[in-house]
This record gives sequence, C-alpha cells and structure tokens, in this order.
Amino acid sequence: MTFSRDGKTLIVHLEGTINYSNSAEVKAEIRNEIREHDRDLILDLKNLEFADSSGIGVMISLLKTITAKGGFIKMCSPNDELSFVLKMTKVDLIIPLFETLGDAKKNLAADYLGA
Amino acid sequence: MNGKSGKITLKSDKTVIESTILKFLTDYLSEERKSCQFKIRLILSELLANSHFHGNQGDSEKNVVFEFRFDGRILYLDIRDEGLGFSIRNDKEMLSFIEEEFGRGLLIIREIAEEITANEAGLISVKVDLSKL
Repeated sequence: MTFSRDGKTLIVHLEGTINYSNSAEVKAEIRNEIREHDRDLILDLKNLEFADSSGIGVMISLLKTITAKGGFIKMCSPNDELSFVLKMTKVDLIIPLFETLGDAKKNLAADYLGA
Repeated sequence: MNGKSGKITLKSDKTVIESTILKFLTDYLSEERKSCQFKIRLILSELLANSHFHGNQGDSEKNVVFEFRFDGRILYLDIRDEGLGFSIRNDKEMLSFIEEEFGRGLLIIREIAEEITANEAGLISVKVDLSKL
C-alpha cells in the first residue's frame, strides 16, 4: 500500500489482498497516515486484487472516519471482480465508485463546487 | 476436471487458512474463469473466517475441517469448526445495515451460492453451481 496527496485529499493506493487475515492491520495503517490537514480520501483500487467482507468493513470504517472530519470519500479503478463485490454489497451507494482516479478527483471537486 | 473430492483438517489460524484457500484454488480450480475463482475464494474466505473467529473464537489450538466435492460443475463445501454451531438467520435487507462494518459475509455467500445450510453441530454446507458464476 502506498499513499499520495492532492491538496487536502489523501489518496490510498491499495494493493494485493484485504481480507480477514490482514484487515485490522490495513485499517490501522491507513488511519495512522491520515493527518489533521487531510480532509478527503480516495481509495485507489487499481492494484487491489481481492477483498472480502472484512476488506469492505475497512472501507466503511474509513467512510466514518472521513465523514467525522467533514470530508468526502470516493473509490476508483476496481477490477471487474472487485466491482462485482462492491456493487453486490451496495457499498457503492455510500462510497461513490468511479472508473478512474481522474473521475474520482473531478467528482470530489464537484462536491465542493456544489457546496 | 471431474470427480474431485477431499477432506482437509486445518489449524484455526489465519495464515494456515489463507494458504489452504489459495492452494485449493490452484489445485482444483485453476482451469476455471478468473471471475469464478474470485467468487469461490470469496465464499471460502467468508466461511473459514467465520469458523475461525466465531466458531473457534480465534483459538489456534482448535481445528477447522473443510470437505469438498466437485464434479466439474457443482462444488459442494462442508465446513465444520469446534464451535456451538449457528442457525442461518433470515437476514435483514442489505440496505438496513449498509453502513455497518460487519455482517456482510453471509450475504455474500448467499448471493453467490445456490444453497447454504447450517446445523447446530457447527457444520455449514454450501452448494455452488460454477456454471452460473
């Protein structure tokens, strides 16, 4: 997992697998990276190969963390299989899902333009 | 790949469970479509994690027994742990707990599998039709 920043947006580039075996560690690592000035979060799923319900739990947990800070959270670039899981569990209804990182950033900017 | 079956007794340990799942996929489902392998991995992850965390209370001294039969189309999975068993509850609608961090595992299994049954002795049986995945 790597991190990058775009203004007040922390972008988390997830990799490999997030499941029952490592979800607690992944959640802790991301939370530890969130700084006071980080307002919004984008979860870049491009290199995330697999996630189970525990992985989805991490995403929901981050939604709560970022919402509490007054920010927005988005997801982008899932593979086809991951997209199936996110839509089947309806996570995409509460964490908007985009095909590309650029689309996620644009949507985030639009949230603030509309605010 | 026809007529495969087996019984694996594994330690209730996250690392052992993960390696068992990946080995099962490699040994028995490597010729299946990627999406199919993903969904079987998902079901096994949910089932075995449930047995480890809930059935065996995370106790690595306990075991999980994983039996399977695969006729090339239908995959039958029987998972038994050392817990007290549970009944398959009539789940709430997904939207009713969409913002909860936990509770999606069974719903994921239900969505992918043809059948799932559980008895009070800690046995969970799942039937998956791979042709529909």
